[in-house]
Amino acid sequence: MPVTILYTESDAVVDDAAIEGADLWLRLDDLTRASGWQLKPAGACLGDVCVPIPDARRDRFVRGESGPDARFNLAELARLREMPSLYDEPTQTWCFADGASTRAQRMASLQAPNFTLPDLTGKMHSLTDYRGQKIFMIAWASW
Amino acid sequence: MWQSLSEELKHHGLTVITVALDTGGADAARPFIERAHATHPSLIDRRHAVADLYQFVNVPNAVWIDEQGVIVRPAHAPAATASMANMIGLGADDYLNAVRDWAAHGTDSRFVPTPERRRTSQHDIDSADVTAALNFRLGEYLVEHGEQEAGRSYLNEAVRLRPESWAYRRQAWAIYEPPEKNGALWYEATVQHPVLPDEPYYAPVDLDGDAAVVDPAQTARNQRQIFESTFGRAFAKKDDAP
Repeated sequence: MPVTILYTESDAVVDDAAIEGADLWLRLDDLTRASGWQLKPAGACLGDVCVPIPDARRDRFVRGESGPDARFNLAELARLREMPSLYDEPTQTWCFADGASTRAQRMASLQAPNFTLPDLTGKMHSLTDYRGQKIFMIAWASW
Repeated sequence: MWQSLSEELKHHGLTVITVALDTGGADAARPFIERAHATHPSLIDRRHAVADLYQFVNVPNAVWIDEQGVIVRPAHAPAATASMANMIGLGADDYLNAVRDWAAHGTDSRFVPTPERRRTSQHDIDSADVTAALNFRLGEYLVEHGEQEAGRSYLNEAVRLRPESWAYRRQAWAIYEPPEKNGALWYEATVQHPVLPDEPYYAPVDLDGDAAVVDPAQTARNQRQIFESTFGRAFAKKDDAP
């Protein structure tokens, strides 16, 4: 059964994943597709940011190192990053979110977090498309 | 509602963006957007992602962002009408005039709080808030993908962990309760048996930093009275919805 991974704002369905207790082992290409993280010599990297993998616990993070059999444990990385997660077993859906300290830091920076959302026609808009303008953003709902 | 302000202020380099927090997606939001003849970006946010990023716990909620992408007024209830202004402790046109002043003068406007005031006015996120967000995200995804019943316990857990989020609570009602009951449920939770008796439904807005400190419980009571006189006739029947 495919595993659905909701990683902060993104989501992906992965066919070849192994769930072992609280661990989620992914192929390296699926790791990147689902979460953006890449396994590199410097560690696990998301864009320019690399997190060294603790040597003593490397086998908790990586199996096989490279090639088609290599696997990475996204749940262990999330624990290292203090990202809480939630797993719905019947639908095999994992959900990972930024932790409280990451969110508090983001809010204290007063930098407006970017997002990308569709309008009624399906056209996508990012907040950064409007940089250089003052933005008065209002949330509403039909309910 | 915001269309005329958008037209009025765009020559100042101000863009109005509205975001519909709605698991019902474009279908739910379309009639409202079309009726408003909105020409500004009118976005659809099924996952309430913007609410999560900007800490919106109710609608309407708004944020002001400057030309460099800095938040110059964090999450707050905006007032486009006299009744909304009254609820957040302002005169009828005070809020719109503050937006106009900011549009004209930018960060020099006296209605732009200092960075320190912006930071202290933000909600302090704790682990229960994060767990609530995680439950909402998972529940909403399941609902969006046809697993409505599987999503129910997660959405209910989000509501339980973040009781001040009317966005979570009312969204869950919109999904799981018949539409004709939503008004009565809302009235019961805000007026008849308030889930947060001492917390205002909309926090008072301090526009220029020198408003008198208002007791939250007093504001909550005032807002309940406004709801009672405005909606009591329609929703107060205890047995069922009108």
